[in-house]
Amino acid sequence: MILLEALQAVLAYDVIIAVVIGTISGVIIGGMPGLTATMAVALLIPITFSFTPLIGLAIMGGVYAGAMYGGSIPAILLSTPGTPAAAATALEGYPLTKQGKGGLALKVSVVASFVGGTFSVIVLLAIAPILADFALKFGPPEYFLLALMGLTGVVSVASGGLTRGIISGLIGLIIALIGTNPMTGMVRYDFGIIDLYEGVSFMPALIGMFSITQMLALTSEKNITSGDIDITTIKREKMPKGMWPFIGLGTGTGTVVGIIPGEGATIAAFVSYNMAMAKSKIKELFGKGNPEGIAAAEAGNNACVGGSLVPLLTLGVPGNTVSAALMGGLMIQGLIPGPELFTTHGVITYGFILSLFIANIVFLVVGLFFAPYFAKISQIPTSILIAAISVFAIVGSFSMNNSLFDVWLMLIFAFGGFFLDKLGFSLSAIILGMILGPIAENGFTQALTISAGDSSIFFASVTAKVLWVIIIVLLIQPLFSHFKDKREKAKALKNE
Amino acid sequence: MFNRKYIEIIISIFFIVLAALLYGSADTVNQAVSQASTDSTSTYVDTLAIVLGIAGAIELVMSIISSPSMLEFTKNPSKFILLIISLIGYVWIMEYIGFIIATLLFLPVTMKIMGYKSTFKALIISIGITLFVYLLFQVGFEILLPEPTIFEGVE
Repeated sequence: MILLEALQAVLAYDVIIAVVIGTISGVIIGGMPGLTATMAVALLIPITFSFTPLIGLAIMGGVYAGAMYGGSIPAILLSTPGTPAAAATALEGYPLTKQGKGGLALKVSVVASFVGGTFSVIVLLAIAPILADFALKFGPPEYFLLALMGLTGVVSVASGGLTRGIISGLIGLIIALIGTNPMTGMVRYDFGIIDLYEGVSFMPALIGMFSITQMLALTSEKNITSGDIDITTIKREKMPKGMWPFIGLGTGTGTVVGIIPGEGATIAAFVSYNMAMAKSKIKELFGKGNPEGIAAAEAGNNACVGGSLVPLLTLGVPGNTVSAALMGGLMIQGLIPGPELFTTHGVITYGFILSLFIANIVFLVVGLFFAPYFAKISQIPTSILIAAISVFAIVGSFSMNNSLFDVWLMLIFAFGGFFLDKLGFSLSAIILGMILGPIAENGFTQALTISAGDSSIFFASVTAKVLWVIIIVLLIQPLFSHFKDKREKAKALKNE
Repeated sequence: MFNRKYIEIIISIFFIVLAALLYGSADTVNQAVSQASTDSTSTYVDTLAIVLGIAGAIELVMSIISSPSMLEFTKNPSKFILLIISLIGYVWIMEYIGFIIATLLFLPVTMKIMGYKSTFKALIISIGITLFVYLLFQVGFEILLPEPTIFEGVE
């Protein structure tokens, strides 16, 4: 019944227009190297604030789905991935373009993206309500462990190593302490600044760390794209045979990877790509223009979209930075992620999920007919891009609370984030720490208050034990990879 | 170019000091009406401080034993610093002269700093972007943008 109501709501003309605008904007932003899906969603939140919740979410969902696909266009035509998740696509796509088969690569990319994206939304629709129902049984200790698990997922894949990942997560948790204590109502760590009574809003932090830091990094680049494109040379081609097993492989892998906290679209694309290489009968063509690699990678990164929304919508734990930005959008609309989304706000939540199907159809049509034209947009000079995005970031930060204090905060996060990023600290872990901080603190303090200080409460239930196992596995995984890499390096040195 | 080793040592010490300050503040800052709430909140803050202290100490040891290397923040320091200055300047003047004039100044200046050649085109693009943002936010979505305060009280 709720599903039917949601379907009716999503088929309203204004929602469809919102999805179309969001998806096309996503394809454009995703197609511009240097601009990420996280940045797009973060910059859009202040705008969506003035819409109804469903329209706002439909725009953001469209941007997310569109950006995931859009990254593949310059990757194929210009050898410059629009988003990091499209890096694997560039390995096979650009050689095909050089062989005059750019049209074929674009066709494989858009079809694979559509299948991956659509399947993951079906999984989201099927799993999310069950998981949300299960989450109703969670108590404070489980919520604390859930927040810890979400953070561990991101920390474990931090590029600067486990210790720096942990420190990054802790920075976020410590920043989340600023403001009114949720348990006692007392203001703490505010340094006498009235604007900090409500705590540090994570939207200026998100915009600063994922928009302005990106612009600061772009100052090193003269031109973002490495090539030029003559769109008249791109021919429409048929879908090559034998792609479906690779699309299926990427779709399954991407959906599972997306559900795991911390494992984003880039990992999904590369895992799918490597699996396709292992499975392929024409391995020798990999790196020289094999459409099987594009099929797997693109299905993989787009399948992450639905997968990453599973923990966000059901448990309130964002698995990656894009879903963290989406969480900001949900909260601004007064929607707190968790079981209530599927009961009290069922029509909006199911409507949002159904709108993702429309977003996939929109980028399929856009990709099939207009993809080469989007590659032209990616050639906008960095000088214009830096100036324009900076204005959007500043206006976006201001408009959340009509506060210039938030803008200064955004700049502090931008400059500090750039510095920490260069030193190998994880900005994703910082932002997730800030988001999950209140959940972790409430869960921790409430659990200890209930148990009169007995910490065995965190190990009492079966759910808690399962969550501990997942946390430990997530922590062991990078340690294992670290020692494996060290051993391989030592072996290589010995052989030399 | 900076010496990565020294920067890492300084930042590790910073995290250890932060951990110590946080640990020391836990009891006094997190006072509550009920003793149980005070204790559990303090335990949470203490736990964060202890883990940060340990992680900071590990980082410090790793930095000390690591071999020296250089850290490059940007390939183009002049553009990088000028962008930071123009961003700070933009936000600072916006408070006094409002969004429209501040943006009309910030955009062409930043575009020129970033290497855009044609001044005329830069001005036209700046006017276009400013108008677009103003119409989108203020007119379209009725989201307030900073108003000039410098003329307040002037009749």
